[in-house]
Amino acid sequence: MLTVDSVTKYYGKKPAVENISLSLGNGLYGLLAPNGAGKTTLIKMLTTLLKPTSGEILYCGTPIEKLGASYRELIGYLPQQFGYYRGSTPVQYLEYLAALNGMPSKGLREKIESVIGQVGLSDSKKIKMKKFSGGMLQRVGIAQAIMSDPKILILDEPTAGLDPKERVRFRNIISAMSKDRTVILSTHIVSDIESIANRVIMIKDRQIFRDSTVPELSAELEGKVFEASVPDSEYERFEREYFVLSARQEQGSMAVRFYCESPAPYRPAEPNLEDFFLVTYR
Amino acid sequence: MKIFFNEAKKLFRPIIIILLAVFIFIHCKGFLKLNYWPQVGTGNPWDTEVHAEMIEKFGPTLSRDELPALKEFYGALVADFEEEIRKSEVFARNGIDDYEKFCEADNEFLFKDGLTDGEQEIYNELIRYRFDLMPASELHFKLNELENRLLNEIEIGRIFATDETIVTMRDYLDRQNPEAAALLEKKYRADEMSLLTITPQSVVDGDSLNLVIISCIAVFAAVLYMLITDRLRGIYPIALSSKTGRKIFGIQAAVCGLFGLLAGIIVCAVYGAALMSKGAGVFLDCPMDNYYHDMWVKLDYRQYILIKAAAVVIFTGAAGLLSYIIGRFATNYISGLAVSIPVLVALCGAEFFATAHIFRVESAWVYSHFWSSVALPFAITLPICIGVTVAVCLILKRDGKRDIL
Ligand SMILES: Nc1ncnc2c1ncn2[C@@H]1O[C@H](COP(=O)(O)OP(=O)(O)OP(=O)(O)O)[C@@H](O)[C@H]1O
Ligand SMILES: [Mg+2]
Repeated sequence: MLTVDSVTKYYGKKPAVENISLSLGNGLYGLLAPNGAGKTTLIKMLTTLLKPTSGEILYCGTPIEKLGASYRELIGYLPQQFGYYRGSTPVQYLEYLAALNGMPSKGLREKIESVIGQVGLSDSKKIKMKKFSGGMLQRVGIAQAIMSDPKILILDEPTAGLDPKERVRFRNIISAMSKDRTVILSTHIVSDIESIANRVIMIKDRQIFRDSTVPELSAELEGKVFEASVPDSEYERFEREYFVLSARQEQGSMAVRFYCESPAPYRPAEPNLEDFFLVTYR
Repeated sequence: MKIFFNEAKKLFRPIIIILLAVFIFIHCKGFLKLNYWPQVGTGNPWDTEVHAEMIEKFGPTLSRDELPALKEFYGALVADFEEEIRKSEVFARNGIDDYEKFCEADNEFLFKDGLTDGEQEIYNELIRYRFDLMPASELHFKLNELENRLLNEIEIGRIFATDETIVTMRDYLDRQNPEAAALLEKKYRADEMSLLTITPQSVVDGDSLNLVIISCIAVFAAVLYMLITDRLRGIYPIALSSKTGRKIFGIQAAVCGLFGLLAGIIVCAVYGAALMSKGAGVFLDCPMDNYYHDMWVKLDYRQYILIKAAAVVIFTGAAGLLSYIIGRFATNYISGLAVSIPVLVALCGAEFFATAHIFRVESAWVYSHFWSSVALPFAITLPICIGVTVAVCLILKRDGKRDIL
């Protein structure tokens, strides 16, 4: 049980996040916010890399600072930008990190083989990482995060650079893992979490804006999202009048999905998380 | 332990070791005085050789009782040389048939202007006997060495002094401060005298600084390369949020310090082997305090070498920690290099001051500031070693309390 208790972080005089309070049990938490909102800052505090300027982070009631190594042992972390040794193979790299995490060497080899299999890199496990593509590297990063079966898995934009097939594979791994552990996944890509997140945490203006489920968030837009087919000639005026969520060019007209506070004379549509994100950070 | 080895493995990468070995080899070929053994400080190989011969005959020191034997040794050399003199037609024609006449001719013609044809002939022959590579010049060099280093010094009372001979040194002694004067007089009156000559000692003196320079550069290069590369690769976020956490920095500091010590030990061991292969082994038991080198402590050549080696190792260890400090804060290779250069110069300079004069009672200035010759090296060495260690400890301590990334 991870508790974030009114945490504020300043970089110098500039606040990055303010008065964040969260309570995180088992399950998958999607940390959803646009660029520069403070996702990475919050995550770095959760992983003990940064100290909160004020406030506290507690694990089972004890400040994580006091727990030290016994807390860090529990976390698996994929940084937004993660480092690796160009000249080493994924197996060597994971062995190195396993040592840092104090994992017993007994059964380590099998464990490494299995996580490498999980992220679909079995064929490349003997290749030096400098020959890897961006997506392959990202998968090594995911492998190192889940390698130690962490109680708390913290992933900062884990799907960056993954192709659709790998995204699905990743989602399945994470979704299965989140049953009996805390998974925190930061992203600004809605589809990464829409189908798997138990809760979505949104940060706006440096503060927690929402902490609820996907259906709850979508429901907030009930009756406010519409679809319409707008002739090309009227599109400009339409765009000024309504907040367009998406538009697709069709013959002679635009198929538009848009947001409107008050009831509008158009076909109502089923709101989704992406709509909520766009409307929130309009 | 495993983590320690993992960090060490990054420093002991084959490519780094090979590059360092090549660098050290080139540096040694270019800068070491040992390459010019046995004629460093003397200009010919026989000065060192005649001392080695004497050590084989008399042992590491010459005692007052052995003075007749020394004269005999000298006499035998003179006899051999006279035999060579008699082989020369030019000398025969001019009536030069013994060492005494050779020396007279030497004194007369060597610096004389406007030589006649006949004199020119003698002059050329003299030069040939003195400097050409032939048995005669070898004997002449050895004779010269014995005269200059021993016999003349005995005559003026700097070696095996008696109440009569010490008188010539009295003026000199009176100019020193009382402690130094007492020390020197005791030495002049001693019954034993070291047979160590210039070359073995000046080679070790010059090269110990050289070895510090090479190994410190090597240590800096390897450590900075590793630390800055780690930082640029962004390996730290994962490492620091692992169970090991910020202890990784302490482990790295230890690895760097040990790497420095090890580099120093290897360089010294290789150098020591090379030094012995040149024939320095005969001098090992000779006291360092000899006819041209006044020391305030009793050390033999072996101990002197070991102390110099220890200094090299201590300084390379300090270099390991210093480069760790720089590597922790340098955010790229250029800034790392820029900070390293002055630090390296200062470190090597400190080593020079700390060890070059540490045991010597050398110049008038040092005599009159006898204790400062001891205090100075310590004033330099101690702060460096303590300062570097404390700095590393403070940095590591602070790591626990601050944002790391
Ligand atoms: N080291 C730093 N020093 C100063 N300001 C920083 C630092 N790191 C981040 N910031 C600022 O803090 C705010 C939050 O940054 P953060 O990296 O947490 O955002 P993010 O949500 O992770 O963004 P992204 O989606 O682009 O990764 C930004 O305004 C950023 O400019
Ligand atoms: Mg970020």
